[in-house]
Amino acid sequence: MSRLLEHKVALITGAASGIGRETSVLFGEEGAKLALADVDDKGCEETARLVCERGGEALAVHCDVSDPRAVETLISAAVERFGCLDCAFNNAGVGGASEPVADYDLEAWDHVLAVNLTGVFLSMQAELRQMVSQGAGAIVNAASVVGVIAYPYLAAYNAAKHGVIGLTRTAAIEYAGHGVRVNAVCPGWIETPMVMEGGRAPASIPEVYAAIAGLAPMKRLGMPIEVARAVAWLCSDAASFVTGHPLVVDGGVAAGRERAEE
Amino acid sequence: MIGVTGTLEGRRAIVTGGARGIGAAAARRFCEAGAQVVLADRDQDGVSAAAAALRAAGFQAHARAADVTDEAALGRVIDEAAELLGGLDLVLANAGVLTVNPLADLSLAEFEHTMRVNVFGTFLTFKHALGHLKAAGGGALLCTTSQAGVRGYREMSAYCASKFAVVGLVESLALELASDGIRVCAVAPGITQTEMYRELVRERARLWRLDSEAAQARLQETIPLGRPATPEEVADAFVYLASPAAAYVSGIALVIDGGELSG
Ligand SMILES: NC(=O)c1ccc[n+]([C@@H]2O[C@H](COP(=O)([O-])OP(=O)(O)OC[C@H]3O[C@@H](n4cnc5c(N)ncnc54)[C@H](O)[C@@H]3O)[C@@H](O)[C@H]2O)c1
Ligand SMILES: NC(=O)c1ccc[n+]([C@@H]2O[C@H](COP(=O)([O-])OP(=O)(O)OC[C@H]3O[C@@H](n4cnc5c(N)ncnc54)[C@H](O)[C@@H]3O)[C@@H](O)[C@H]2O)c1
Repeated sequence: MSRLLEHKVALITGAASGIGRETSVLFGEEGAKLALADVDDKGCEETARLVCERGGEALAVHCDVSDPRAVETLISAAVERFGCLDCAFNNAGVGGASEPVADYDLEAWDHVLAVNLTGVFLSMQAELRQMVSQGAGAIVNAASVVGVIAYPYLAAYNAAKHGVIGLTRTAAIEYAGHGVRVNAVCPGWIETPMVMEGGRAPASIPEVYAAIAGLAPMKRLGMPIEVARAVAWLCSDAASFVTGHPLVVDGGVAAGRERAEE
Repeated sequence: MIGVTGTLEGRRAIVTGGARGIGAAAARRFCEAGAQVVLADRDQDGVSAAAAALRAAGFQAHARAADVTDEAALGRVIDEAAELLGGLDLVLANAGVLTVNPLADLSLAEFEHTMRVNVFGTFLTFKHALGHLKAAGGGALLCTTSQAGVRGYREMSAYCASKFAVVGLVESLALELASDGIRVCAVAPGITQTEMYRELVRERARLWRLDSEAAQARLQETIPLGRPATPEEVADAFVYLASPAAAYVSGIALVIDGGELSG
């Protein structure tokens, strides 16, 4: 059976943890050569090790995606090492504060927007320049189900993820003629450190876990591999006519409202 | 895992509108990925030929004639399909018709026929397959909406109403059937190289008073990727949605439109 991403060169940001790590391992198994980036060097190197352990090839690079120069350096390092850039998964993200809009701290807002929206913008700029010069490429941006609907008290996160979808559509239209496809993945609640350990109510607490699972018609959280597979599909040639699409992977959350008694 | 082959090993599928176009391409991809398929279509000769072509390629495929608006006949064919394959866990309600006419000229009969095939046909296919999917312990109900099920297109009010309705079915049933292990999704293709596309070009040429080439050019002008989809590209989306790779995906319309709806 031929592998889905054979001979492709892929960049994954936020590769040290959660969805980014799982996607890195899957991409490696599917034949891609990987440039992995994160602010967490130890985690990123561990992901690279996991990829190599399974017979893949990976380069770990320190990069804060909200820093334009660091992002430029990252793309150059990837191209220098592997010769080109076929796919990119702009996945680095933070959850941020949980407050009503009127009380949302400006600094906290700025940080979430800097990583989750500006980080995607900067990454895309550098990736698009490279991909346009090649005449081909596929980009997937990490949005969220809250890029399509909203959860309360996540003003910055919701706004950033809605923004990622807007940015995705803009680039999809602008770069289709250059052979570059740009899509987003919109995960619902996924079992990653962001959800299990993050925020005021981490899902590692059984009651919290059950409450979050109850939000989805499937009555469970998603696993990082389930998001990774959607990203791999969007990056692959099987999705050759798909561009500008926010692919929702959420156990049915966005389809409609579930009530407690259901 | 999500390669084009091997992901639907052992799955038992029925595809309506399987005689040609998107349905025939999806049936072939399902087979290539390891599924057995029953093709159903109102076009008896066409559907027999499509199934024969699959068998000649070494796949397990059967043909049945059925009009998806005829509840009794459709129910029988779905039951027969389950019997032939030893159960059903994958359904693609894809049979559809195109209607292009300005409101003043759109007859009730045309509007009703559009709704009967595109909406009632999808509803009936899902309804009669449900028991078989439950018996199988779950599965996937898939259907074909359209970019015209997400956005409006002029002179296509009947078609748009029908394709928007299909998205309503999908979103509602995704909630209702999740606890049965059944995922419900649509693919929303942009214009795709099939007989229906040729019909669209003819209708547009008539309404725009253009020759066929000029009508095609105008239809493709708004597609950022600059061309229609191939039926195989649409079929690949169905394979993804049908496969275990999409286990956490339900209630969505996966848009395959070359970027058309982004702008
Ligand atoms: N887990 C979920 O339920 C969920 C749902 C929807 C969307 N998402 C999105 O998926 C992506 C991955 O999330 P996750 O759940 O795997 O989270 P995670 O916290 O496990 O991983 C995020 C990674 O991003 C890195 N990162 C943070 N800021 C960075 C920066 N400035 N530069 C480079 N790297 C940085 C972190 O170090 C971490 O390794 C995020 O964009 C997140 O918003 C997650
Ligand atoms: N081609 C496009 O541009 C396009 C775009 C978006 C959506 N779609 C949708 O894709 C689906 C497949 O269309 P296609 O492009 O392959 O068109 P097509 O005309 O080539 O195929 C449609 C098939 O459905 C069958 N059919 C029609 N009415 C039926 C009925 N009452 N009972 C049983 N079978 C019936 C036809 O006999 C034919 O084999 C349709 O639902 C269509 O609306 C097509």
